Amino acid sequence: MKDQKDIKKWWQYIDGDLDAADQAAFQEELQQNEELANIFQESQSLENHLVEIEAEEPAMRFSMNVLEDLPTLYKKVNIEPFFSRRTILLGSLALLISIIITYLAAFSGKSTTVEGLQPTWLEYVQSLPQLPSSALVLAALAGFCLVSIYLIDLFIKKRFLNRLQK
Amino acid sequence: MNEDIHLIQQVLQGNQPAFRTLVERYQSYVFTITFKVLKNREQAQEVAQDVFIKIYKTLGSFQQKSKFSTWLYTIAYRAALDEARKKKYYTESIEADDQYLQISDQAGKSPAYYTEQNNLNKQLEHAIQQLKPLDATVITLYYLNEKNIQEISAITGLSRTNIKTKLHRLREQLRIQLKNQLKSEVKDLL
Repeated sequence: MKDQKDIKKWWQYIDGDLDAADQAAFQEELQQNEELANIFQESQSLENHLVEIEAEEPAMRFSMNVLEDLPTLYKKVNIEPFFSRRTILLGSLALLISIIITYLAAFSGKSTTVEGLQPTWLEYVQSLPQLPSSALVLAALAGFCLVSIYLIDLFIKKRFLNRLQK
Repeated sequence: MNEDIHLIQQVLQGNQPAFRTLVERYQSYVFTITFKVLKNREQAQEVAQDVFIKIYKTLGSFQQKSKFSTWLYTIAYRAALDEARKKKYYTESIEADDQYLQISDQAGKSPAYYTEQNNLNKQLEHAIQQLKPLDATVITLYYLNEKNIQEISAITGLSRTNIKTKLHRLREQLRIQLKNQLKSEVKDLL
């Protein structure tokens, strides 16, 4: 008659949880005890069927049903910098064009030929310090603000990305 | 970083199709857990769907202290138990620890019904379905989940020793229940 200890032992044997000595002793016992050997074979057969257990399959539309019921909790977040490289490039180009236009507007009477461009251009550059200081301060401030906004934007989005990746 | 974590990040960034991948990857396991507890396909499916919606809502709070699957299965198991308690089905069986669940077989199918079909796997499936929710979940998870006792312990809240003892007892119970079929199978093999 088997007891709880026997039951535990042959399932431990099947699971491979017995140490070498216990395993050898159990194998010897199996050879000597026919009743135990029969029960063990039944248990082994049961184990073979248990490992074939498969997960239950829900209805075909299961995932669709879930997706249809999902709340719109997570909105697509734009993690691109507010000022992209393209924006900066286009901005710089626009600035350059505006300088050239200003130059052409201010000195159109003085240089209409290619030969006359070099001295007139120098003249234009030399005239810049004559601009009112308030205008220069304003321009510097605007530039500083733009750069700051760009850097803050980069920093915040980088932190947001890091938090998502944790 | 494993694939699940990558998908979770995608979902948190607003990529909803990534959640579909997660659902499709785990739907059968979640459904199996809820079905083992509730013993009713429609209810189990409803609870499993709710589990995925709950997971979606709380995805941001997943701490990665355990595997995503463990977290998911734990929520599924608890949700199914809550539903079972709410519906007052099998309540006694859930509470009682040493008694096997005696579910009335609504279709009138007993293990003997399957004997005629000589399909031991079907009989085994039926016998497991007759077990009380916790037992059915433990034995199913053990064989579905690469015999990972630690994970079953996290999901069910039982100690590892308790699970091992339970597994010994349950398998013995199943062996006795299917004794005749197993005996004839062994005889055929010899």
